Parts: sequence; C-alpha cells; structure tokens
Amino acid sequence: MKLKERLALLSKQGGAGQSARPPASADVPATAERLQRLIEHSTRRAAVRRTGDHDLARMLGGSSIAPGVVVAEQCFFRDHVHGAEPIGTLFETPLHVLNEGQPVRPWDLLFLDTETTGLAGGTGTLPFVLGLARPEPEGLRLRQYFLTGFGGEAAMLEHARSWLADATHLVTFNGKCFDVPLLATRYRLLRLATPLQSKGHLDLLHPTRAAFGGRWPDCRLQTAEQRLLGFARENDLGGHLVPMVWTEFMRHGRMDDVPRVLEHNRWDLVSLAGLLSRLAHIYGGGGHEDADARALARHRLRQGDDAGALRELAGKASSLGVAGLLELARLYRRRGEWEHAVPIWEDLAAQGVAEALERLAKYQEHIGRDFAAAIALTERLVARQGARPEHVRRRRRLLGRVAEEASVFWRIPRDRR
Amino acid sequence: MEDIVDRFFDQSEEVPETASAVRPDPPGIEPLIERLKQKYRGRITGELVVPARTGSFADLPVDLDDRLASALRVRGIGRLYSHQRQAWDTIRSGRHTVIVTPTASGKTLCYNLPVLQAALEARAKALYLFPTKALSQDQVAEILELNDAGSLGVRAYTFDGDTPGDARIAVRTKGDIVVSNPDMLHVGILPHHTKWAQFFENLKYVVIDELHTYRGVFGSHLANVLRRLGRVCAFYGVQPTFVLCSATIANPRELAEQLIGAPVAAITESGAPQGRKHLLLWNPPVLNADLGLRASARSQTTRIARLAVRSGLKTIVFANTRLMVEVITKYLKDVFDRDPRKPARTFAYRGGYLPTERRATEKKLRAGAVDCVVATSALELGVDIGALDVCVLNGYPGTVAGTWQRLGRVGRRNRAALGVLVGTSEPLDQFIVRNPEFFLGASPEHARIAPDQLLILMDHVRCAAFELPFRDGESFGGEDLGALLAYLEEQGVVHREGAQWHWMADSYPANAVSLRSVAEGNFVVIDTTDGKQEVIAEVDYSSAPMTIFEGAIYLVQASPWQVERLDWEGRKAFVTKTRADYYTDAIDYTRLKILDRFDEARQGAGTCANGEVYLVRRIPGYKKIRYYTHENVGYGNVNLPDQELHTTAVWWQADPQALLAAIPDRWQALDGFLGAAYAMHYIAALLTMSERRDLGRAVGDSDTTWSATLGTDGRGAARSFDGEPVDVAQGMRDFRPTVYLYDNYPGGVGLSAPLFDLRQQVVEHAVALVAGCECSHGCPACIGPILASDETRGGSPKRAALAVLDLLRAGRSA
Repeated sequence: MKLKERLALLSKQGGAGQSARPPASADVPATAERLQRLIEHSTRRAAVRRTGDHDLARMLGGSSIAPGVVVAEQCFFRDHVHGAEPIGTLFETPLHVLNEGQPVRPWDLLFLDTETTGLAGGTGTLPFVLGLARPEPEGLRLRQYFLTGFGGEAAMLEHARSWLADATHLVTFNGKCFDVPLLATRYRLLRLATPLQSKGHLDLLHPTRAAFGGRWPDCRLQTAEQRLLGFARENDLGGHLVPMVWTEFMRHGRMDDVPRVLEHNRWDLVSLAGLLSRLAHIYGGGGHEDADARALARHRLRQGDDAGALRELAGKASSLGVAGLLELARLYRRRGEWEHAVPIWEDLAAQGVAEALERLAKYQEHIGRDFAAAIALTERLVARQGARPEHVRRRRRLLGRVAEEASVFWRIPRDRR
Repeated sequence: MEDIVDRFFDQSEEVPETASAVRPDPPGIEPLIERLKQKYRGRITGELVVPARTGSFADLPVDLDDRLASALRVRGIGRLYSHQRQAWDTIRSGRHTVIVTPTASGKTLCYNLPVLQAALEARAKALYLFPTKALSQDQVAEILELNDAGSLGVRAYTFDGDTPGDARIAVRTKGDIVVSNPDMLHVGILPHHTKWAQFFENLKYVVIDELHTYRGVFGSHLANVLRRLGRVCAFYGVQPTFVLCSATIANPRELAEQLIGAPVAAITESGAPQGRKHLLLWNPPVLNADLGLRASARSQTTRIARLAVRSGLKTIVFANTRLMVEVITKYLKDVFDRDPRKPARTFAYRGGYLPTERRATEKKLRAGAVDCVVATSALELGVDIGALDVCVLNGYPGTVAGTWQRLGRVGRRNRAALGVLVGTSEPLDQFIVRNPEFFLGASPEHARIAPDQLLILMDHVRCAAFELPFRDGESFGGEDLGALLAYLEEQGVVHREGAQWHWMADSYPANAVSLRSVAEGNFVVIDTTDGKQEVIAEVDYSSAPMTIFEGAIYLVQASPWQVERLDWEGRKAFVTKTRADYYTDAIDYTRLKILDRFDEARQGAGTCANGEVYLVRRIPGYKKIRYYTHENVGYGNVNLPDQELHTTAVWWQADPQALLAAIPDRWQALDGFLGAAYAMHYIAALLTMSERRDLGRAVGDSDTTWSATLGTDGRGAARSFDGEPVDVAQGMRDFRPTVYLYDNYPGGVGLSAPLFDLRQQVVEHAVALVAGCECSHGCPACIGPILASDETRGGSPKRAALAVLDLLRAGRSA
C-alpha cells in the first residue's frame, strides 16, 4: 500500500487520537481527482505568483516593494471623524494618564495591529498583514503590509523596521500578549535583529477591561469602538474569517476578499487611535457613564492622585455598591474627613457589613471615644463573625477603658463631679 | 532533605556504617526468611542470594572545578565510584553517553558533575528530561543541595505544567539547568522555541533519565520529539551532547541510539557497593491437581505481606493491575487499619489517583509513616520513597528488567533486603516459578521502539512543520518526508512555496498529540455523593471502557464507588459512594478482518502470515464478583461505542483437511485454537520482550463471519458479526479457524514483524509450555481456564490445543 493510502486509512479511525485534527478523510475524493485538483492549484498558483503582486498592489492602491509583499499607505487627516471622534483629538489630549503618569507625545507613538493565520501563537503562526499607523503633523498615516507569499516576510519585517525604531511607545489592543511577542518570534525565526526591545507599550485592552469589564458583554476592540467612539463597521469581514481569506488566496489565488482584510485592519488601527484619546479623556477625569468608578479611582490612586480618586468615587456614590462605598470611606478617612466617612460606615453597618462595623468600632474607640458604642459594635461583629482574636482583644481593651474612666469618675470628689 | 543527605552519604564509604544509627535499625530479614522457609517449604521453588558487593572507586577528576569539588566534600564525597568517573571522562570528551547502573548507585552524579562544571566554566545550559513531574522535583532539590553546598550560583528550575506563568520567563532566560519532561518539551517548549532562544543558543547537554521507560509508544513518540529538538538545535547552531541513564535492559545502547539518532558510548559497570539481596520464588499450593488449580497469588501475597509487616519490616507490594492493587489494599487494610481512630498504615499507590494524593503518600513513605504500600508499576521509577525491607511481587511483572527494577526498590545501601516473587496461575508466572534457573539466569529484555510508526511519525511531522518550515532535501525519520508533506498539503495544513514547506493552519498541532496514550482525552471520575461534584480520579481513554462503564464498581484506596452515569463524549464518569461487597470485571470480545498481507510462509500443516488488520472490540457486559469467595454474583449489560483499531498482526492457520484429520469435531478444534492462542500469546510477549497488553490476541476466521472469544463461563464461543452465537459445527462450509496476535495500537508499534520472524519459536515454546504443564486437561497456566464440564464433555481442551499447535509446528510433514 502506498504511504498516502496507509495514512488515509489510519487517520480514518475514530477515538484514537485523531479527533482534534482537521477533518481529513470524511469525504476524501478519489486519488486521481485529488491529484488533478492539486495540479490545477499549483498551475493556477504559479500564474498568480507571476502577475499577482502587481495586480494586487493596484487593487489595494499600494505598491509591491519586494517579491511576496505589497504595501499600501494612506493618511487620515486631522479633520477626519471616526465614529464621533475626530482624529485631531489625539493631538490635543494629554496621554500621560495611560502611560503611568509619564508624559508621552503623539510623535512617540506607533499604533500596531496584525492579522494572522491563527490565534494559537507559537512559531507556526504567521502575521500576513502588519498594520502600522503613526501620528504625523497632518494626521494619522497608515502603512499596511500584505504578504502574497511566505517569501515576502523578511522584506516586510525589514521595511517595517524604521517606523518601529522611530517610536518609543507601541499602542495595541492585546498586543502585549499577542501581536508583539508574535512579531518578536518572526524576527527571530528569520534571524533578524528585533526592533521591538525596550519600548513602552500602551495595551489598550487593559484600561478598557479595567473600566468596562463586567459592564459590557465583552471587551473586544469592536465593542469598545462602538460604545466609546460610536463607530459601527459596515460590511466588516469578521475576524474569524480573516485567516481563511489568506489561505484561499494562497491556495487558489482568490483575491476578492483581500481588500476587505485590509479594510478590517485599517479600521482596527484608526479605532486604536480614537480609543487612545478617548480612554485618556475618560481616565483623565472625563469619566464615562458605563465606567466602573472604582477602576478609574484605583488608576488615580496608583498615580498618587488621592483627590482625583475621591472625585471619581464621590461623583458616583449612589451607584458604587458596598466595596466602592468602603473604598470611598477609606479615602475620606485618610484625609481625616470623618464627617463624610462615618455616615457611609453607619449606612453600611446598618446593612450588617462587617468591615463597616469594624471601621466604626475603631472610629469610636480612637476618634469618637465613645467606648460604650465601640463595645456595642464589637459585640455585633462577634455575633457576625464569631469571637475572632482581634475582636476579643478589642473588647477587652475597651472594657478596660470603660473601667478606667469609671474609676477616674469615682475618684473625683463628689461635689466636683 | 534528610533523604538527600542520605543519598549522598550513601555512596561515600568514608561514612561509617553506623551513620544510619539515627534511625533505629529494623529487625532484619533473616528471622522472616527462616519463618517462611520453615512454614512454607513446599511453596518456595527457588532461592537466590545476591551477595553484598564492595565499591570500586576513582579519584575526583583533576580538572573538576574547585567549587564543585569542595561542594562534594561538604556532602561527604571524597572520591567517585568508578562508573561516575568513567561517565565524566566520556561525557567531557563530547560523546553521547548512556549509563546503565542499578538503583541507588549514584547515577545522578554521573550527569550532574559535567553539567555543573559546564555551567561554571561557560554558563552552558542543560535540559533534563524525566518521565514524570515527581522525579523532576526530586532532581531539582538534589541539584540545589549541591549548589548550596558549594555556593555554585547555578540556577536549576523545573518547567512543567505546574510552573506559573510569571515564573516561566525566569526559567527560560535565567535557568542554567531546566528540568522538564518529554510532554512539556513537546507541547510547551519546542512550539515556542523562539522564546527559548537564549537557552537553546547555549544548550550543551541534554540529559534523559529513566531511559528504559521510553519504549513502545511512549519511546517512539520521544524519538520523534528528539528529532524535532534536533531541528531546533540546528537552527540555533548547537549540537548538544546527550547523556542517558537507564535501569538494566538488554540493549541500552541500541535504544539510546534509536532515540537520539546518533552513536552512543555505553557505561555498564557499576562501581557502587550494594547490600545483600535475598530473592525467593514462590508458587501457591495446588488445590486441585486434576484441574491444575492453585491457590491465588493474591492470598499468598497478602499472607507474606502480613507476616513481613508483623515482623516490623517496611513492605512494598507490587501488583500488575490497578484493580489488584485495590483488592490487596483492601485485604491488608482489613487487617491493619481496622481502628478508624488511628492513622492508616497501609496505602495504595497507582496511576489514576490525583497527583496531590500521590505526593502525600510519597511523603508519608519517606517519613517512614507507612508500614505497607501496595503499588502498580507507578512506583517502579525512581520516586524517592525511603528505605524499605521487603518487596512482594504479586505476579511476574512480565519482564526480567521490570522484576529487577521493582526488587531494586528495597534494601538500598548496606542493608539486606528480601524479595518474594509470587507466581500467579498465568502461564508466564508458572513458567518462571517452575523454572527458577531460567529467571535467575535470564538476561533482561530488549526495549523496542518504532519511531517511524506512520501515525506517530505523521503527528510529529506536523509539529515539526509548525516549529520550523521544512526544506526540500531535509529528512525526518525513515519514511519519505516529501510524501508525508504532500499529504499534509492536501489536508491543507502545510503550504509549499519555493523549496520550503510552511505551516498554514489555524491550529497548534502539539495540543492534539499525546505522547503517552493512543487516544486523547482522559476521563475524570466525579464523586456526586450527597450532591457533591468532586473529581476523585482520572482514567485514561484506553482503559475507560473496561473500568468505568455504567454499573462498574470503581475503587479508590479500596473504597468502592459505583458508576451511575458515563458521559462518553464529555469524558466524565459520575460515581456515588457505595457499600458493595463485590467488584466488577468487564467482558470483551473482538472481531477482526485482514486488510493486507505483507508476508506469508508455510509452516507445518498450515500457514503463518503477517499483515494489516482491522479489528473492533466490543464490551457487551460485565460480571460482579464477590470479595473473598470470588463467586460470580451477577451480570450487567454495558452499552459503549465499539473500539476500533487498525493495526498490524501475525496469524496462523491450519490447512482445513489436515485440521479435519487431526480434530474431527469442530467445537473441539475451536477449543484447541483458543487454547493454542492463549499459550502463544504469552510466549509471543516473552519473545518480543514486550508487555502482554502491547499484544492482543483473537481467534476467528479470516473473513469476519465469526470470531471466537472467551465467554463469561471462561470457555470459547463463536459469535457472528453482530455478536450472535454461531454454531460452528453446522451450516459452515469453510471452517478455517485462525490465531491472531496483533499490535495493540493503531498502525502497530513494530511488534508484528519481529514476531513473524519468530513464528517457529512461538509455536515450539507454546508446545513446551502446554506439554510441560502438570494439569490433566488444561488450566490457566497453559491453555487458559477450563471448567469441569469440559472434561465430562469427553474431549480434552489441552489435547486439542496440543493437536492444533502440532499442526502449526514447523518441521512437521504437511
């Protein structure tokens, strides 16, 4: 039996380790037919190879820079409005809030997004579209590379090097986990020096998820652009179809959907730019009705801005929930604003929130000095949580205080009481 | 910690024998041996004393780094065993090296020294592969001890599925020694090799310990993983030296060379001292001479274990199946762990338990808190379990190598140890215990792998294509790589461009390939007692149909759970706690079809052929067997999908006329074939040096109109395609019963071809086995169990089996 037939036979078996593989032999046509198809493909492919790059470049409004790679450039001017967000906003919004408080200028940035043959990662995943965008004086300039063969990858990576090297910060959506390690792998596989090292990286997935995770059905880029930028894609090629377009193109030379892949990537890039300024606005104090005030406040706290954090929370006090209210009260306490902190705790204590009870007990012991009230609160805590050591200690201490006060009281001459 | 210190002290003859006085010395094995001999003289069929051996030493190498030398001295090592020194010299000369030495002979130092030296000299890196995670952790602990003793500053990390995400970067970039396992190399490291670039660029040594475990399917996979490793190393411009360590097998060098695909130097003489070993071969007493029925090995094993534990000796019992582990554990717990207020002293240890439970048992073993542990081969490997005194083998493990490996778990260092091999009524066991000189003089077996097994090879060509594009002219294994890649291109997973083949699928192929088992997807066993949802065990795909069918009693630490529901697709079995006084045993039968004949030869009055077959295995039901009495207390039906298998096989057929002349009665002929197949199966496993489950056997005809199986009554019955009984005596024009022995793995693992070459010995030895058996009409020790009714029926199955074997025997005139 021929190798091929033996393989087909063996792979047909179910339950024996093959189920996770591509459906191979459910309806395998006869060998002759397969061979025929194979030959057809290879001739057709060869034809595509010879004239394809230039045809495709013309179709995409770009040019062929080396065998196997086409590049298209385009500029979105400052007055272009993406959804409801003008591109120009990017140049006017302070961005440091998204860069750990460090100043960063638009010219330092490079927006980056890839389209790949798969999402699994690892050395077998190829970025066949590399989309870059950088702010220039007149607006946002895009450069999109499209591979028409594996052989074009090295030229693409080399050509992209100068823009990558110019930027001090990359801006991506989930690029920390996916796009950037993937590119690093590609440079490595082609034995090229990587231009990606020691760069700042603003991965917009993280602030998006922090502020809107759990409030939106998901935190994908397309959800964010809809809800934050008011941008709705029309006739977009679904992300899951993107790899298929490329394999169809590679195997059969089909070009029809290739422009849609680039359009998909283009929208990703422009949305990245829009989201950057929008998120900077939201985190910079502008807020957003959907946003989790606690996330924004925590972000402020990390940057040492207590007052800002307090503003975020106080502005949304009515919708904070128990944990948010406790955080707000904590901030007030830190500033010594007991008149604001205590009513919050009292409300929560009435609902039986243990931490509020404890906070109040501490407050009464150390600030209010109403030991009896502190004892009552501690008793409630014990009732809720059992006789934990810290509760027992506090109760003992408080009883001591009361006794002490009492004895002081009795030592005072009667007429002076 | 103490164990590590002990292990190092172990090999230093400077340390006086009283070093072990920290622990009170156990009473010693002599009184127990005396007692056994006195009481059970008739059951002991053979005795072997392996005398204590003194060590042979060599100086520390002069070029050994001073820091390393002083680290050794701190740990009490002033010189090396001769084999350690020999390993140093060979490995340092850059030759691939395999080291074959017994348990506890300080083999880890053989590779740790050159590896640490290279790390100190040039920050060279090393990759260690162990078959299990537990062994990896032991190993890192040991390196770190040495590291601390000499302030070497060498960083050793484990890298496996348990390594947390944030620690992985440090392992990849900072680890001098990365300790992992083949599965992790396969699925986690190679497909991400660019992340490991720094590591690979400086990789100087690859250490593969427990080499002997890499045989059959697992070994064939590993050979391919190493081919992939070789490609990745070539990409980074390195050619690491391989160091392999093995327990005693016949062909360590051949296996090592097959695994790594390059010549290997072998070091086989151990210089380590060894305590005296006492081995008894034990045959259970005959209960019924007529039927050749003996007392069960299990009863003998528990008896010996009880005596040993009562004598204050730490005991390990090895059983060959998970079920037997549970049964023996129950019997021993019934004796020793009856008081629920006291901590248990008897434990079971087997695959399928959750890792945490196994780790806990290992810890108790090391702490000496266990009197008796009952284990499968899972404890055969070098998991550190402290010092034990007595090892009882419930049944022959199937190989000489495996037997010594298990016996090696007791009596490390200077203490004498006792091993008792209790024969079951299975043919090999009976052969071994009845012929002690055979076992005691036998050389250990060959470990075989088939790296070019087509399915396995194909799996790894996929993975390799994912890792780096293939170039025209490149080779990978022994098959035509171009044809394999063309096949993958047709499947749309690779794409040819210019002179290269690139991966082009949206998948991560390594995830779909398991190195250890045939099929993907372990089953989890979920306890749903009182509304719980708790995973209590895992069962691998291939044994699931036999163990967790609905109605099955599933045992964990000898406690019974009943399977209420089996979700085959979801790979889940839902169980509840039960109090059943019985256990369950699945019934299976097989039908088989010949697809292709590679080879055929006349043999005696018949033919023997080798080729490809398709077989379907069905499990129609199960038996309920009561504890202690072992009576059959009921049946149940099983409704499971058939298990299909495409594989290679060898089969024997007799010429119809000759068969008719020799055995006119077809039922008797069928009995004869079943009996002959039974004996031939054992002999074939022995001759191909494989484990018996690696081979399957079946009796049927060659065009699947019927197949014969051992029925629920222990006798053969013919069934049609649909499982309906077939009357072979009537209505069957052509009666050509056939004995099949097949590779129990899709595509075969390379056992059939050697078996075809050994076809004459298979029959000859089977004749000797059956003819030499003391029973009158057949017994489990020769042709399989028979019932009394067989005798009253008139024919003797044993005589029929001998007649069949005689027909198949070469040299017989046709």
